[in-house]
Amino acid sequence: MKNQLRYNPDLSGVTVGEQRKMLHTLEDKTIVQLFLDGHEHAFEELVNRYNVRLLNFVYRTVGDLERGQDLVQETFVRVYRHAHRFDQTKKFSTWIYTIAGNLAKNELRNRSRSPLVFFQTIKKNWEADHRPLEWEDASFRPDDLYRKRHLKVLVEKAVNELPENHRIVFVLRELEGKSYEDIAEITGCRLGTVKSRLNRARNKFAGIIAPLLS
Amino acid sequence: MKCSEFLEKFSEFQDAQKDSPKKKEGEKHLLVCEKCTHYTAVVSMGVGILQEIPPAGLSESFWASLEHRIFHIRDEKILGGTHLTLLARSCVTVCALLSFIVLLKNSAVFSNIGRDVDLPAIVVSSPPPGQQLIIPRSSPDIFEQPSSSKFVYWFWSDINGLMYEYSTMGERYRASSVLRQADLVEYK
Repeated sequence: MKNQLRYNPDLSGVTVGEQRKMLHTLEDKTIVQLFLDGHEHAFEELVNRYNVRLLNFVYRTVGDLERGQDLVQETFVRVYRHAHRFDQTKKFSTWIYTIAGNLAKNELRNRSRSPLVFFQTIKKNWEADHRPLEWEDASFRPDDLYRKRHLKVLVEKAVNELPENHRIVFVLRELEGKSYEDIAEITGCRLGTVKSRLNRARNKFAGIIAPLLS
Repeated sequence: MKCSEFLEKFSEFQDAQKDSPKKKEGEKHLLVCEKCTHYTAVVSMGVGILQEIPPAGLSESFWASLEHRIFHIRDEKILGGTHLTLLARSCVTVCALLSFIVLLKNSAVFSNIGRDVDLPAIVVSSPPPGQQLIIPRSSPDIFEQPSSSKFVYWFWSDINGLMYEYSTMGERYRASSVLRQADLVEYK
């Protein structure tokens, strides 16, 4: 049954709820094909599968959640527009990450030219100050909690301090768990370049966080 | 293995498969080097903290905004298709018109337009029966279009008569004035 769904899905005469259930079991490529055949729910399934993953990848790369969300949306819009260009012999995840990665790179490039960066940085800090109060678990000591949260902020900051090219490779490897080959395809670099960038990123990351952890 | 070499190949050791010779080579160095062990621990810890951070969530407006944008894309696609159909239709119409004009130009009806046709002379008046129309040789040929040289010669041949005709001593000035109207009725 599963194989039949995977290779020969027939969504005609099926209710929307059932369609969604069926789509959930299919591979990315099959879903893209269904979308190209005119099934709009297939696109919805793609968005459901990738929205959080892409948001975290773009957010870690760009360092701004709001902008990251816009870029993720733009990624899906591009997928919708150009789904017919997707080479079905390749991985869909690599293709969508390539689009998102390119958008993130463009964003960083534009920021380096625009003074808006400073405003965004300030704005981010303001937002952090106005966060709502959260109730903590009483079993933890406040010192530990503070330290842990503080560490998280510092580690996040350390990632943002990495050079743009190194950061993308680092995030794709450490947070998205992508293989070297996939990273090479997403970033459009050679395998050797990916390895050396990842190594440098890790070295720099360790250099930044080492004094904080000890 | 030196520490610098370990750091240089750190990613290779870190990402190598569990039982691979590369991994074992790295682990062998870690057993004897405290500094590199600390370095590996720092990286692993940092990445661990990073992975612990809960993933960012999408805002509520994300879906509505995406749907709105996709609605417009669909609209564009439909309109784009209509535009293409209209363009194709107009192209076909223009081509049809052009071919029709070419056909007409080459057809037999239009090929005769502009050709000289020899028509028989129309006689507007004829002499009375039994008489012949005699045209004196000396008088100017009224049926013949005077060539410019002939006309000039005829006009200037009696220059004195011409001067008299148009001078105040001429007959036309002595005679009472003649009024002419457009309807060709003469009033004296």
